[in-house]
Amino acid sequence: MNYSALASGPRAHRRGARGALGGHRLPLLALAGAITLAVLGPILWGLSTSLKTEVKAVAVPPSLLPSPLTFQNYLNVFADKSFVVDLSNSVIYAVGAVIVALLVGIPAGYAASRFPFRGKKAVMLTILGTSMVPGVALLVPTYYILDRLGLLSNTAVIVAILAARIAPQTVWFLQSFIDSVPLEIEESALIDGASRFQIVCRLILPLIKPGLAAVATIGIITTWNDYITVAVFAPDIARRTLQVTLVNQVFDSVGISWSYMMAYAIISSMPVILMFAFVQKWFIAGLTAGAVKG
Amino acid sequence: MASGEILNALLPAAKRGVALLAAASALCLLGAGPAAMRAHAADQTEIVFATFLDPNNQNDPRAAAQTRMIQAFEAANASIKVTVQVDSTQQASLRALRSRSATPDLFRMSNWEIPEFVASGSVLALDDLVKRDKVDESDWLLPLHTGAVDGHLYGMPQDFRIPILIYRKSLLAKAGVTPPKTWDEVCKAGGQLNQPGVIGYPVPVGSSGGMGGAQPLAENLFSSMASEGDGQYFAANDRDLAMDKGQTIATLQVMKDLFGKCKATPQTTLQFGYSEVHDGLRAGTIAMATFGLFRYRAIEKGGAEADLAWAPPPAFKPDGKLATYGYHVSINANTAHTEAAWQFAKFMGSPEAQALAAEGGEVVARASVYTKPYFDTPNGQVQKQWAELVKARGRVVHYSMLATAFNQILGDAVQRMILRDTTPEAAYEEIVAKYNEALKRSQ
Repeated sequence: MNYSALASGPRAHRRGARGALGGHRLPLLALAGAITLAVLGPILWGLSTSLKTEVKAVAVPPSLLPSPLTFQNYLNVFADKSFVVDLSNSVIYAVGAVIVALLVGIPAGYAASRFPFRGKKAVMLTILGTSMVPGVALLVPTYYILDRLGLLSNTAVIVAILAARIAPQTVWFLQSFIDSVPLEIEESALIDGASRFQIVCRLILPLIKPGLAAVATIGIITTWNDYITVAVFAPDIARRTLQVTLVNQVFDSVGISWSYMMAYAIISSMPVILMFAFVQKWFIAGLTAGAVKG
Repeated sequence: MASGEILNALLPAAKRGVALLAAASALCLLGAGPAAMRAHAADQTEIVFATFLDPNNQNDPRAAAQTRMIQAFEAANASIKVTVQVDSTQQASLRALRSRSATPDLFRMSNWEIPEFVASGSVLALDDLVKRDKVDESDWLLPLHTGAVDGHLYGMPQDFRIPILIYRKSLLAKAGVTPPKTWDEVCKAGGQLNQPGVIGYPVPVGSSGGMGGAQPLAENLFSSMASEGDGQYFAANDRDLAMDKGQTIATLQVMKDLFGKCKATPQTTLQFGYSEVHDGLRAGTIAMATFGLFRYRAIEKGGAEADLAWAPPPAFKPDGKLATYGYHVSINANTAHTEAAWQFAKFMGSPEAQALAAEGGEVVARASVYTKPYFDTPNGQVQKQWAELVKARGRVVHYSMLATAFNQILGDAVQRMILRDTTPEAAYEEIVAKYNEALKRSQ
């Protein structure tokens, strides 16, 4: 018996496996690197531009590293008279829309999950169908109605419109999250005398926290990045958002100030990036909930 | 865990639900609050003025000038409050007019937008008000009624724009060329200037920075070139094409030659719009371009600095006429505050307000303003030279009520002519056929 061969067997096997994996790994790593570069490249370029002077931002040949390095563009953004108002509006619309969507979506998702009723499938498909109507197709009629009612540039109306956009997905997501909560827990609460409202508030919601985080995150990102709703339905400059102000800079009739615009774009993305970093754990847990059946 | 224990453990969640509800209610109040406050505010009449100039734009001196004009108006008219509505592309105003909305009460529109806006049926003709208040009709750079539609005045003129040749001094000096005055000279000079990394003379057929279609091509080149002979661009009904066939084909031939025979214009400029030409002049990757005068200072400040210069633009003849246009302050016919809106429009066209606009860099429409001390400053002197150019070579032409659609058709035809190497005659036929189709559809 070749003991040395036996002794080295598992190691040789591991080496072989590593070698085989290494063979597959290289192209995979190259692909991952290329994708990362494609995604990060424009962001890094934007960051670099934001740290350049305006003259250097359009210099030819361009350089990735800003020289001289300046934070003046960021200071200019914060010094912008409308920045705080635009930021506040962005926060109010995004948070407000998500709260309203959750207030609607939680009972609807619960009902869809727990109560059998006639036409349930049709109702759920109709809810889903409403999210498939392109928002642009509704712009003119909605504008006409709001104008006639004197409701243009109204914060509550903007929140309601944005909430309506994310409500269908909220209902569907929440239904599937609530489906994953064992019915037995609810039944024992019912025996204890809890009402449906109490069950939803005190039992279901805490158990689907990751799901709520996922739904809220998707909702915040969708509404935060919305341009057209606010641009059309909130013509008052005191009601516009960071995104509207950002797009207005593209149409600036004295040309685009690239370094300022990049600084503005990065600052206006930060709240969502920070929020995502904060709720990332819950968000991923929410998205993967129910992915593994046991 | 017993169900009772579960309930107790999870008690704070209920509070969170109530908090969410309270937040939503507060939000609703937040939205309704300011609107209600505005509605019940004192005895002031609030008028909404839609403009592409954002009062918060710190890069544009015209925005600051506009704010000063509004402040001056409010100081003189305490019972009227002007609220600015920023409309970068003027599409919100057009949408409002088409839906017969009462706001904005006033808006800005340029000569080439007037037919499209007037076709909405919601722009107030100002003739009677001008007559009633005896507005001076002689104190204008170009006659007050030059932009009239069907003989009616639809806006108080604010300024004039005319194409100029903007160039980089060092690049022209290096190539040993002087600013060209005619298209033949552009062909020659552009060919000498065009080299790797530098575009001799762009013909921008793209749409960036504009309202759609090949707006920079139509605005800075085609409208002047096609109307240079007899001043005909579109007919007085603001619908039918009126440009001379021979002149238009000659225009298209010049464009084709710039790309081909002259080697002055690389095909990349087919994708250029305002933004690319602007940035190219700033960076020095474009040697010279026919461009809007209102961009000159921004290009200078944004990188070109002392290397930038301007000259009267090239034409078929050295002193050929150029299509000029300007912005007007117009009144929404559906406004609930016609008199207040008129007072504001009248003020914006007054010598007092126009003097403030001039300090923002505009080539203002009022002739008497050019005697003000501001025009002794270096910036003022350049504006005065542009005003002279407007007077000497400027000509207001008629535009189409489908201006954006026409610009798109024009851009498509020019692109096809260059990329597929078709004839200018074929491009002309395409423009005519497609525009007439678009007209038919609009009926």
